[in-house]
Amino acid sequence: MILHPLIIALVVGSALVSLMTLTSSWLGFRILKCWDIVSGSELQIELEKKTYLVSTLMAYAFIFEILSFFLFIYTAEDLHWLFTGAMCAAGSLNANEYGYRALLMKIAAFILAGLWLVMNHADNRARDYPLIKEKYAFLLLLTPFVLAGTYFQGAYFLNLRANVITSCCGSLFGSDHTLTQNLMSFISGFRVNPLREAFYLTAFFSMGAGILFHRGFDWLGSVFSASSLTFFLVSAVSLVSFICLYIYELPTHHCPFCLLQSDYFYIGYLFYGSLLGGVISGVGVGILMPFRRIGSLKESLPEFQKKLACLSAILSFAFTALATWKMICSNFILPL
Amino acid sequence: MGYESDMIEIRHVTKVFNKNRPNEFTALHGVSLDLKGNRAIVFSGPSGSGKTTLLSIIGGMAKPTQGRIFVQGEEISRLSGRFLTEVRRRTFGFIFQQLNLIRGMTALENVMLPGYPTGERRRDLRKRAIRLFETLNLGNRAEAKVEWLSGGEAQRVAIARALINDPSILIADEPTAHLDSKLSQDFMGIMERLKEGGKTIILASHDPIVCGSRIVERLVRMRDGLILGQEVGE
Repeated sequence: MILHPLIIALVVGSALVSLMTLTSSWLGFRILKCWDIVSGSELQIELEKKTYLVSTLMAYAFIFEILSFFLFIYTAEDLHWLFTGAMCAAGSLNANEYGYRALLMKIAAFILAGLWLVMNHADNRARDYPLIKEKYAFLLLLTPFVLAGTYFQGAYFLNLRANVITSCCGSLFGSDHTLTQNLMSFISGFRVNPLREAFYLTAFFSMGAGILFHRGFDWLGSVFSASSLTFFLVSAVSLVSFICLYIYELPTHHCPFCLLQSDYFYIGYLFYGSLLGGVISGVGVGILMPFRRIGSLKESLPEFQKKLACLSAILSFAFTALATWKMICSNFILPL
Repeated sequence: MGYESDMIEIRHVTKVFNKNRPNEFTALHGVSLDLKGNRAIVFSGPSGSGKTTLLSIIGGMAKPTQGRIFVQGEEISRLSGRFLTEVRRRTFGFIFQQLNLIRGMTALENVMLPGYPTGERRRDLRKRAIRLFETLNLGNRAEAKVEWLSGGEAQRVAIARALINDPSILIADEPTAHLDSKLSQDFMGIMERLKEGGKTIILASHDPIVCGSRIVERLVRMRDGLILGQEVGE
């Protein structure tokens, strides 16, 4: 293990979040089994008391989980100079078999933790715990991802050896070492023009649906949510497939990690932040749609969903505008 | 203020302190009670009978181990901290046995303090606090530090502080414990005026001046966490 301060912070932080998530899952299990809001029993009152404390603590834990994703990729990027052959985080993550697994789990935990925060916020708006069972069922679903993320991250950092010779991103995304790298190679091979059209079409559709939903077209909630998810997937593919070519001004360099370097003004953090924030708030609107009829949420939920839709549309716009600006200002001309 | 609107319902409330520890103590044993609005109610009993615990639970400062509390039709025992604070601020005014005034601050600052979280403008809050000082004959003591006040004055400041957010229910725990009989009678006089103004008064006391006061419409006798009996006045 390399005793880098960021590594210690990530390992300890994630271990604490995992411990808190496990403990909360036990409470979630008890709530799913025993919750009875009309009862005045000792058990029910104990559950009510604990859920307030636990959901408050978990909200902070998941905020850390979300921020730790950026810290993780920053750390992977920061470590690359230690490994022979590595040019960016792509090489660092490839230094052992756990790096990419940890990354995938961190992304999954990021999105799911964000959605849990959305549900928790909605639940806390009402006095009678209307989403309590759904919230804790979702927590149980999220727990394996948090634990797996912590395990793979720990295994990755613990097994880092500074004498390992790894590969640079240029060779990684052209070879077929692992599933992740195969996927990246597959994405890199997409035809650009149809993908570019799909990117702008989904951006337009997603933002349009978001604005209409915000203006009061409530029936568009699920459509907006689905379009937001589609935009996320298309944008992620587009970023690797052609947007990054304009930023690097190289026709064959598809690395999603070099964007995080100071050479490119850390623009990757803006791309990934807006993309992930946009999909969480967009999908968040959709997962709350079935609960709009609950009496105690009738007033607060539509307002909260509108704010989420607005945030999602703003972040989608920020991503699209940033990508477009970089493509327009680039000296690179992509051969059609 | 209607009778029904201020009704407090206490349903099978049990309170256990230090549960599953060697010093476990049951302060209330399945207490049930209905309290109508715009009345003066006194909980009476020796020390350790559960009066203070019951007042804390009614006022939302403590949660029962078992049972439910409804205030003005809303179940407060299951509210989370955020909503409970809102209800507490809007509905209840508290006068504590030790008064709990903040030393180093003036009487006026002490009284205005509970009004700050409501977001009301300072100027309006100050006007209301000064009006309360005048009503309670404290007009010239507003700018005095609380440690300079006499016992009776300090208690009237505590009453003013309890009333600053215009609560519908006033709760006082052993309010006359540190007062002589003259000041105790003055205190009950203030309570009478507040009751006439539409407030519900809930007191815990074993002081004969309080228990025997003509304004008390209901005397609830407690011992060992149980209700022994009730006397309902005219």
